[in-house]
Amino acid sequence: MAAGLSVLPLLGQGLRFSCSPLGLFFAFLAIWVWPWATLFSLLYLKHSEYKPRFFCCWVLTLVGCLGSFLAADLFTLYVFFELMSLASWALVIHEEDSASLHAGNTYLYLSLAAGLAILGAAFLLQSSTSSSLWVPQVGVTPPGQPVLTAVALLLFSGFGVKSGLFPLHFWLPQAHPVAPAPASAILSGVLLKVGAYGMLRSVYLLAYWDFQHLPRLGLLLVVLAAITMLWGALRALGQDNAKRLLAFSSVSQLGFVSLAVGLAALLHHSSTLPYLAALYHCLNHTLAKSALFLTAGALMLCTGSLHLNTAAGMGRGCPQLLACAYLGSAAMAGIPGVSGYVSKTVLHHAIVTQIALAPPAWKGLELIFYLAGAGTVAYYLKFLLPWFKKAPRDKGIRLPQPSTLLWLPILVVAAGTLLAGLAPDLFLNRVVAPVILTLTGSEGRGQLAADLAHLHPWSFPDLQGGLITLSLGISLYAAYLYLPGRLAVSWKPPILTLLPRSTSFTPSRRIKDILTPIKTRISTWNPLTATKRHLMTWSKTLSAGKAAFDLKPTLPGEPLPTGTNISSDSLFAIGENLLLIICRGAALLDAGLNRGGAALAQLIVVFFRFSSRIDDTLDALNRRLATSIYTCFHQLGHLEKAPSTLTEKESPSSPDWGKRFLHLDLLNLDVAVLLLALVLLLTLLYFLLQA
Amino acid sequence: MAKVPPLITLLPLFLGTFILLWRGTDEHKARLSLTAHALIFALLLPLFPTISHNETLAFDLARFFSPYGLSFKVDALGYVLAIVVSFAWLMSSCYALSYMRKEKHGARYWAFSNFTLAGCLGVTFAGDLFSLFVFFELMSLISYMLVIHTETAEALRAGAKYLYLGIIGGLFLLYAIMATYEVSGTLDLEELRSFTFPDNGVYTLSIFVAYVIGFGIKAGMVPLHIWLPDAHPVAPAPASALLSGVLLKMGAYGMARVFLDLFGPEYLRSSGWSQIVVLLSVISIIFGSLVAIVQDDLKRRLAYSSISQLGYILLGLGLLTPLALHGAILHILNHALMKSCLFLAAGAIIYRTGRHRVSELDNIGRAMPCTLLAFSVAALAMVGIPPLVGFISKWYLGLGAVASGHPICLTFLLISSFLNALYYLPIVTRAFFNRAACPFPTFQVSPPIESSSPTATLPPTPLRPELPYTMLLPIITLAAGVFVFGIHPDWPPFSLAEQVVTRYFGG
Repeated sequence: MAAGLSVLPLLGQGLRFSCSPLGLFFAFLAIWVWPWATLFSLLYLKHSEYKPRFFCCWVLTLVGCLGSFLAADLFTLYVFFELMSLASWALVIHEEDSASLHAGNTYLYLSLAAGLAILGAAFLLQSSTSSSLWVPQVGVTPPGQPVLTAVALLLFSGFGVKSGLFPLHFWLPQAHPVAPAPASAILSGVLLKVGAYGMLRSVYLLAYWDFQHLPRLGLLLVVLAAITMLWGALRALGQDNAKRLLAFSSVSQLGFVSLAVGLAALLHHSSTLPYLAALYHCLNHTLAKSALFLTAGALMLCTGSLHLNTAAGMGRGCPQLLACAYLGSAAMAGIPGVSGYVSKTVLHHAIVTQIALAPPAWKGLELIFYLAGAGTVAYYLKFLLPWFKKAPRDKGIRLPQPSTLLWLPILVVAAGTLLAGLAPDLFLNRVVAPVILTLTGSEGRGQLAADLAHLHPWSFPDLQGGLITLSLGISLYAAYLYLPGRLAVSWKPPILTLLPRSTSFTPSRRIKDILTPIKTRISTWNPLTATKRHLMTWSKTLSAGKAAFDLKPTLPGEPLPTGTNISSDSLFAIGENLLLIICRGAALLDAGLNRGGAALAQLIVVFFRFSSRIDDTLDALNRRLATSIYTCFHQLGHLEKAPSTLTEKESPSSPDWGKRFLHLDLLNLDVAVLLLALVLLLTLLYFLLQA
Repeated sequence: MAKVPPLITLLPLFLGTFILLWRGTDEHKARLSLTAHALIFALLLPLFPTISHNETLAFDLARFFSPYGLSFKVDALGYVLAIVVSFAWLMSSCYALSYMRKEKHGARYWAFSNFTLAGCLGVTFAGDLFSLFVFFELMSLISYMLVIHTETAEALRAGAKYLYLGIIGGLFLLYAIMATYEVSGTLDLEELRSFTFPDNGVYTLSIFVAYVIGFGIKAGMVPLHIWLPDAHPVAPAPASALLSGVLLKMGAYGMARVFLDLFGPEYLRSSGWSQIVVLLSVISIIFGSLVAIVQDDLKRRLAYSSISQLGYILLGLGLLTPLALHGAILHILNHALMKSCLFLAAGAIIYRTGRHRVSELDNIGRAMPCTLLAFSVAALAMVGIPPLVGFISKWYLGLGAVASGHPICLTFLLISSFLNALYYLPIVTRAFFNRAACPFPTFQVSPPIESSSPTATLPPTPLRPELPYTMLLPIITLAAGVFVFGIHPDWPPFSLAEQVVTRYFGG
């Protein structure tokens, strides 16, 4: 079904590519967003060092991404996955400050571990089906269930890391904010989708092979995805750094995608809606999040800070950027008319289908879905509201340069969300549905048609759902703003530790901030003065922008809080320390082995010493014998005085035992002559007696 | 054609003697040796067509040393190793031409390097176990002189360890070979292939264990590795590249001969003794990597990495499947390329800047870009990043592990890849990305000693000239080899690996 192409005779089979519609869908997303990000990076990195390195790794990351999407087998996927991890790592640490290096390390090692998990799955598939093809092939016997279980676990842990699934998400909020803005846009918009793509493909493949634990896997995914959604939303609400907020938002939104994947695993044979939801939400997230990260980069360029409050005044200074920020936020939050609304509606339909089929406990899922959606609305309100504020007086001079390069790429990307939101039928039927048809095969055709027929994003119940989420989100945001202040009187110490950190401005001032400019605008509206003011602003911004752009962009706003919260980050630190302890233990063991060797050598030396001691004892014995013989002869009157060599006493453990090894000094000539004489005498005696 | 192997074995032997007797300058002796090493490599290459047609070149020196004599026999496996030996030696000699100028006793280095080369070539060409033993002993005793070349107290201590363990290993080998002769009545490798041990009793087991200990000491298998991390770092850089890149492989080669020719895969599989080696090599793989992570001395870190990588080779031999054997033979070639490159690059860093600790290497990539780029390529290959060579052998090893019914070995392979990343990538990060970037803050081993290094802060500009070109050339060549053979693992001589596999396991 898929056109296969093999290049490079690597390992006898080469790198194999296939144009499966699913891969192509993601590849198109990538190559749509990428050029605009590149355009933006021309401006963003104008004053950066090491530009060649950045763009080299930029292109390599693109190659890695496209290769991952278009790979026909897991081996090829692994090759490009590693390329992507390494190249994007260089993008993450481009600034080379300590925060980015720390984040980069976490990112690099987790990505490598994810790649190794995928490689492990590739090994298992290769050895059980003699190819690691991951498009189903007719005539290939599926691997056995135990192998499939291992493969499934490896694949989902590998791609789960990449898409930031709950226990392994912590690299994401670290790595995405520290990268340069175009790189963050790509990391969040495209690279995360590699994980989503992998999970979708795995579910489809496992279902094709009749994996018997697929429902359990789906349940696990749904639970993890629910935690990811809520956790990401909660943490995002507490951020003051724009990029960090967006990064946590990515965690939360990829949770939505994972939820859809989990539902796809559960509903594989009964509905195509989860696939639809996953793909549409990927489309939505790619467009919106890329636009938002680029907007954050533009904010950074204009004001030199990433703090949310610095966006005050930007809305007036550069309305195009405001439009981008608004479109992106609306798409993420699911405002009707933008793509996020459609994708969330489809996901809601999928959840409802699952609830209808499953035990009543599943109704909680709908609640979680609403809560996470409301959280999304709340933190995007937090992101967006400062844009409408008036600029503080002292910062009035730092207004953006309305360079076309600053806003046009972002606006083009963001406009995509509007298009996908206003014409959902076009995208659903023409783009997403054909992809799903190839996934589900011929038997899914009728199913898909039925699902699509029931899907009316503009019908009342769906709009109602969207409105519920919206109002819930607004009230959540209001609660978030009000409650800490209200409860501060009596409950401040215990509650504030539980709640995310509050922002610096109070709600009443905020409403005033919104209302006053409108009031003044209405009261003092005069076409002539307005035009004049506009012209003034333009010229002012031009000069100010030039001045601002001569400065090198400073680093993102405040230092990133690392390890201050109890999250899996600290779990990671524990694991890291454990590994260190193991390493140290191994080193100690090695030293122990060395010591053991040394002790053995010592033992041998002691043995030598001991044998020399024995030697000495023998020596002394000989000496005593000789002395006694001598004294015997002496007393018989044959000799007059003791030989000088025998009188001096040597210590038995003298170090030069080797010299006396042959007992050369013992052969005292006198004694020898005496002995010889004795022997001769005895022999003579013997012969005499014989005769 | 058949006379080439004995000729090129004897050539360095005579050359070494000549260098000791000749009153020429060190420079002349170095150039002469380099020419000879290039000649040896050039003479080996024309044998390739013959070998690739599955022919065996045999030459008997029995006429000269009756009754047993030395017999030379070259088959695909031996030829692969001979290529590794001669190529690594050529690279190292080219490098040493400049490097040894600043060391004392240059003539002694060149003489003993030649003797060791003769020993190594002899081991790979040996046609029977007796000649193998003779050359093995020659190699392991004479390389002692390379280890202690600097004559520092440290080097002498490490050298003593190296020498004594080498002798102990030799004694085990001697026992094993004598016992083999006693059982089989022949020592010829070709005849031993058709011979099978009659039983798997204690006596045969003792022979097997003696072989494993004898060759395992040379290959740095874990409980017997204690000489390795001391001996490799103290030698001069070209010598440590040889010790790690070539001499370790001789142990692995001996093990391969014992496994494949002497005992045979079927016998080992039925008796289950290969599990001993599998277990020990898995321990080597993990243990070597774990200890390497906490080493601060660059060459010591590389030495521990060698223990881990030799574990891969022994694992591939011990698994006794065609794929694993393929992986092991490829890894012999790959590891020679990678580790020689790494050691030469590490030596170049020491030569140029005097820094030998990982914690002192900040900014070094900006100062010596070519060297560190080559180092990074080899390091990434060690981690197993495709499409570099390290990945190819790991792929085959992993497939072999799954095929042999040891999927747990696959887990260890993957974990080891990750651990490799943990100790290689920080060096790369540190070198190029300007800041102290250990993988985790807790892994910061120890702060650099500022006063000891003469150039405390390296400039972020390249040193000019970075290195003498005779030193740079081998490093770059090896790194290029890492890359090229990763993309084309079927080019000669890598293509011979498949031939070896078919020879021992059939089509």
